[in-house]
Amino acid sequence: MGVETGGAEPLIRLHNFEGPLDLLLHLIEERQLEITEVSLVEVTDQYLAYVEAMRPFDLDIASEFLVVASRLLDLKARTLLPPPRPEPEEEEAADPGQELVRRLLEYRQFRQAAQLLKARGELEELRFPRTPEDLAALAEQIEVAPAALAELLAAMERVLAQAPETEAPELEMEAERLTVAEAMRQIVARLRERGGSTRFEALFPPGSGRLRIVVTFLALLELLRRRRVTVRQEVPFGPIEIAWAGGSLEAGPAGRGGVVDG
Amino acid sequence: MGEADAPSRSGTADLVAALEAVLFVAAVPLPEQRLLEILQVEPPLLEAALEQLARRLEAGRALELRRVAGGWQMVTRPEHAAVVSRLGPVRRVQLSGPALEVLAIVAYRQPVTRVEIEAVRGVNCERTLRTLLEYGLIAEVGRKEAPGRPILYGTTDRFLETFGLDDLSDLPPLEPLGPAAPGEGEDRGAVAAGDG
Repeated sequence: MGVETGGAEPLIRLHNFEGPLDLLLHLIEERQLEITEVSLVEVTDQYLAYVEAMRPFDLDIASEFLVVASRLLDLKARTLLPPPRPEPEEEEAADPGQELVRRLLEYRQFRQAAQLLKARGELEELRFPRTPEDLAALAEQIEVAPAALAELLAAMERVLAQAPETEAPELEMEAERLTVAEAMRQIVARLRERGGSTRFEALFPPGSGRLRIVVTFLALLELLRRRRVTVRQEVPFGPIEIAWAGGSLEAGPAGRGGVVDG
Repeated sequence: MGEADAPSRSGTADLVAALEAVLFVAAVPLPEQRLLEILQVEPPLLEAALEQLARRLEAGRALELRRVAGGWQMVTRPEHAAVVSRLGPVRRVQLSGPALEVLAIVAYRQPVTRVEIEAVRGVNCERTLRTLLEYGLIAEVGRKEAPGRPILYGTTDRFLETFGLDDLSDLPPLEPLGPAAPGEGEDRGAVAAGDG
């Protein structure tokens, strides 16, 4: 194999490697070797050079690299000694070289799978579904801490539990017309009335149908996502306070406009 | 096909149009069961309608019918991507190499714990997992019955949609592991060296 790698080169490329297996695989593939114990031994020196160069930079990551480094050294030392009598099964399972080979093969498998996924994802990016109103954006990124979100969901479940199971027809008609955008306006209007903050439960007037509750909750999540409101809970299981965070409340007209259309 | 649906031609045409309308408004993938409820038809009719809609859309329309995440959805054709993108900022999930690797491991090994993922990659995955959770591509699906009851992760419908998969069996097959036995590997190495 005539592949030569300069001694100084590694320094520049260190951060390109995600972990010891990534580096090891790269070294082996660079030399177009199969993943075997023999090729592991072949790239051991190069691997150690990389790790040595990395040490001053990132101790945390380096420690993961060091574990593999010691395995490699162990493996290399064994090859220099006369082979031990082959003992059946048990010996094989405990062989650190074999173990490393197996892990590398497995890692390579998933790295290839990741590439396939990436290619599929790029293809999918070219296809646009229609955006369901407000909902797609929600899934994108929710700016609430997971814990806060869990609390919100729990609170919403409590509100839902109190909602009438079956709704009077008039109520249903009324609820069906409520859009998320409209519900957002209602929340903002309520916050304005209350001087900028309100209890979570107060967003759902008694007798609210399930649909209204769900739409209002979605509206609240959307306002959170747009950072128009914040959610606070002083004590675990305590009341949840919704507060306006989107600038001057006076500036946004209630009916139409900036506050919810942004 | 044309002759088979000739008797109820107008009825079928109505159904296809209704199906298109429903898919247009729903925007998200709709499972067949849901479509049957909404359109109030029997499975064979729905199947025929889906087939016809797909064929109709193929004839020079901007949309295509695709099966994804266990449902049916209409999406724009890839060839219009450049134009559509000019409409404004578009949703994009940009994943780093490590994130893709972790996602792949979760996808193929699910349900899987963080420690199991890290065993494959040899590096800490905590931050990457959090990113994937935030994107909604993976979710906690339970706890493993093991000491500490570690969290099990799995992929979401959003994952399927993002990668255009109908279900998990739709994942591209993993490459075979390759030669693991040392003897075999050495032989191959020797052959390769001889060729070079």
